[in-house]
Amino acid sequence: MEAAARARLGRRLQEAVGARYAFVDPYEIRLYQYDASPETALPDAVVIPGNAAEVAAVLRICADEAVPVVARCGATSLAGGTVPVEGGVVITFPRMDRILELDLENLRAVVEPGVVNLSLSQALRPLGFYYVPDPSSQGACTIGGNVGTNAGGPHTLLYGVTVNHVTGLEVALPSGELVQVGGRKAVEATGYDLTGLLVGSEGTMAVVTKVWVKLTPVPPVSKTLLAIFTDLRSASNAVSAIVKGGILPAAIEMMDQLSIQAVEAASHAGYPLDAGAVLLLEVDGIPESAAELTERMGRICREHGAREVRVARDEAERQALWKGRKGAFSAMGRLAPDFYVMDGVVPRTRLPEVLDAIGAISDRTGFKICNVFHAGDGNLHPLVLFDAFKKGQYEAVLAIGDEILKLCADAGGSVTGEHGIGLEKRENIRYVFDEDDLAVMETVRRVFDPSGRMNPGKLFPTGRPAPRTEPQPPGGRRPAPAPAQDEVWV
Amino acid sequence: MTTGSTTSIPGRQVAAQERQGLTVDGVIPSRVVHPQDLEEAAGTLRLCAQAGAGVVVVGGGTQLRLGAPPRRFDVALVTDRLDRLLEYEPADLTCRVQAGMKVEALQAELGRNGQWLPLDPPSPDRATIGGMVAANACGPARARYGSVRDWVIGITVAYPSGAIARAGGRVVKNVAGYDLMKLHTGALGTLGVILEVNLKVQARPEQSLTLQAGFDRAEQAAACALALTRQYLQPAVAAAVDRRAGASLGLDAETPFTLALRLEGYRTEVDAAAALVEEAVVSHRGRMRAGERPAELWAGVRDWVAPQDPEAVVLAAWVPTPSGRTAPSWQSRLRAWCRSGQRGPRRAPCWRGCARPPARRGRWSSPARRPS
Repeated sequence: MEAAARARLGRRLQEAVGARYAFVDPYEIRLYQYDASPETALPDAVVIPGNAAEVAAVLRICADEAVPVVARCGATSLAGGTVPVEGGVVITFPRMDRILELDLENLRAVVEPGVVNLSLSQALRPLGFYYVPDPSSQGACTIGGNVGTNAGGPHTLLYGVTVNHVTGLEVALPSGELVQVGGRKAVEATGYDLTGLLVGSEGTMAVVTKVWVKLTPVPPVSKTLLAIFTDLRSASNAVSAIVKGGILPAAIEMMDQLSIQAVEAASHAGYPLDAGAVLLLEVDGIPESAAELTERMGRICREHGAREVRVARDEAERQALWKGRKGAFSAMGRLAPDFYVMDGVVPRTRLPEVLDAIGAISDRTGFKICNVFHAGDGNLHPLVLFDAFKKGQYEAVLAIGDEILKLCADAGGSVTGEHGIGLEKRENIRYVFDEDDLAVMETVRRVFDPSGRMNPGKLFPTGRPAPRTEPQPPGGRRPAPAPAQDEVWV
Repeated sequence: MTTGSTTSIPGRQVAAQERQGLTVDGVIPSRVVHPQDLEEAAGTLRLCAQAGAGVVVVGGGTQLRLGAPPRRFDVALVTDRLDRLLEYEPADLTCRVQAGMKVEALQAELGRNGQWLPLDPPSPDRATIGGMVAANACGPARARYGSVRDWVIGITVAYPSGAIARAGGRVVKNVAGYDLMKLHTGALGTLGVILEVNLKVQARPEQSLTLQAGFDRAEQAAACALALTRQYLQPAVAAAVDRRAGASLGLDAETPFTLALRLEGYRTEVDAAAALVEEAVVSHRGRMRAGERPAELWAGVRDWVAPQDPEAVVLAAWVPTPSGRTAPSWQSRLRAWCRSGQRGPRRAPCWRGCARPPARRGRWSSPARRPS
């Protein structure tokens, strides 16, 4: 964008939201060039609206100026979902972070998009309720962003993902019009389920300004069990047996040997270093049912070759069992300076063969690959370990990622279970959808966004590779920002 | 009714004996097609689009009156030959079915592995999976298990252009591409014809227990049911019925109102839930009622479309927010209704959150969403 046009855009945005909350200064906008993915791109302007009307006003200006719009909340996207790859205006929501309404009678809350996921649940807990979807970044990511990517988390196995917990949205359309779809009631009344369509549309149709979410009563108890296996295959088979046997755990997480070694070194969670795999299982329920199910799951694990089963007797022990899992991503820093995380999904029963194939890729290429993942729903998170400063490694790792996603798609799965397509996988989407499928989606998109200005360059294949950002010297080091907190996990 | 040349419109003439089953709001199509595969269905749509013919897709025909009357209805596309279970892997808890498969037939297949699709649309012996999705047909177990949108993980749709396109996939967790499953759920076939549906399934609950309680007043029964549905161990179904409705459902009612509850889950949970029910019933001035439940009670509640007895009332309390209103306003309407002494069937709330139509044909949704 030309300097004059950018200055005019900045002025107009400032008129809409106040001088303090819109800026085009090259120094100030630098913060908004990245998210948790390796790629970066500078926006032309950044705006921080204070309410829905201001969002609508911003969108009207953007329509008038014909510039792209990228909504960004916590910027925790691992797929480059909020990187303004075609420039334009980044709208960000730290000022719109209020819980507007709690309706416990009807199990609903109305929140603004900038509400941090965890703070919503923290606000609800004392009342005996919580908001179920718990993406790993829940301490930083927001409900608005969760809506954009249809975020998941470890507890989606039993309770479903974001879309199952959102009953309505207020959105600003690209034209600058504010509309409400759905609302308080369960989404099954009459009319098209536009709420369901917009959730997970990655900001390519509209900008969310208000969200109606379902509240869920907090389960009386959660019981956690750790099962230690000598190999991945028997652990995978145990998962299938548990699920098929009629038990629906709230979470089933798995770690392979390499991850166990890293985790043990970092957090001393007490995992045996020679274990081939550990399973972390959690059931929610009343004390009687949780105790019985834990018993049954332990038995199934032993029948499938678990050499040891540990059950947490109290909350402190439960936290100790989860500690290793939650610290898994951070622990990777002990093995390599960088990692590249993927988000493939395969049918549960195909887990053993896909994990074997990933192991074979690791052997062939020489890159270590850790597997820490949501085994219950077949959502893999292979972590390829590398060093971005060694020439050619990043390219090699991207090629490995591509190969693994193809593997997942060929096994009847998907290229993304919860991170979204974003920028990262916009070409990989072809592994699961053909031209006709994508054409229909493009048609739907154009209904909302005829000019294609909403988060352009995302979700749909462009035929061009994602713009590359060269690794920079320390200080501005990219890619793969190392998780800062102790408890970042995916 | 038909415009353009009938010769270019696909399908055969509608025979006299099938006319009634294909009539939608009094509009009768001239031609009918029973496609045997995806390509034939898509080809039919393409030809209809070229001929400018209006198409209505017909599954089991149980929900044809939903929506406004069709402005054009030349060709009925009947999915009855697309009735196969294409894939089913019990350990993955997923299946892929053709749209014309009957809900009951699918449940029977799943039942062999102790699994089910926890959706209970009315008339499952006739309703098809595709029709259930297109009509977003849910039953009373919705409050506990969610509605159609929560169980559809993938969809294959034929569009008017003749294109066949998929969305979603076969895995339970998937955010690749737009969630067009949601767009087609409840769209009444206005955007395309659903040909295949991928579903999540679940293990059948370990135990199912039906309890009944008697109440003197409707508000007591409703308040008790609402209190229970907000608990962690919420009932799978809660239905409050008056004496007349109870009689037609086979309930032996000595009190003016009966609250029937179905508890489902692990054995230990059901036992604990039963104890909670007793507490709630007593605190709402009701009485637990012993005795067998009539065999067809839940099917009767599920299929409660137009009461045989126009005075009878079924109050469905399984949805926290009937009519999308808050519970208190619903309760105040209920109180007003109780006081008024009017018992017209139009007043009977139902699980769709709106009054079920009386015996004469009526419409309980407004938008004009028929294909033109």
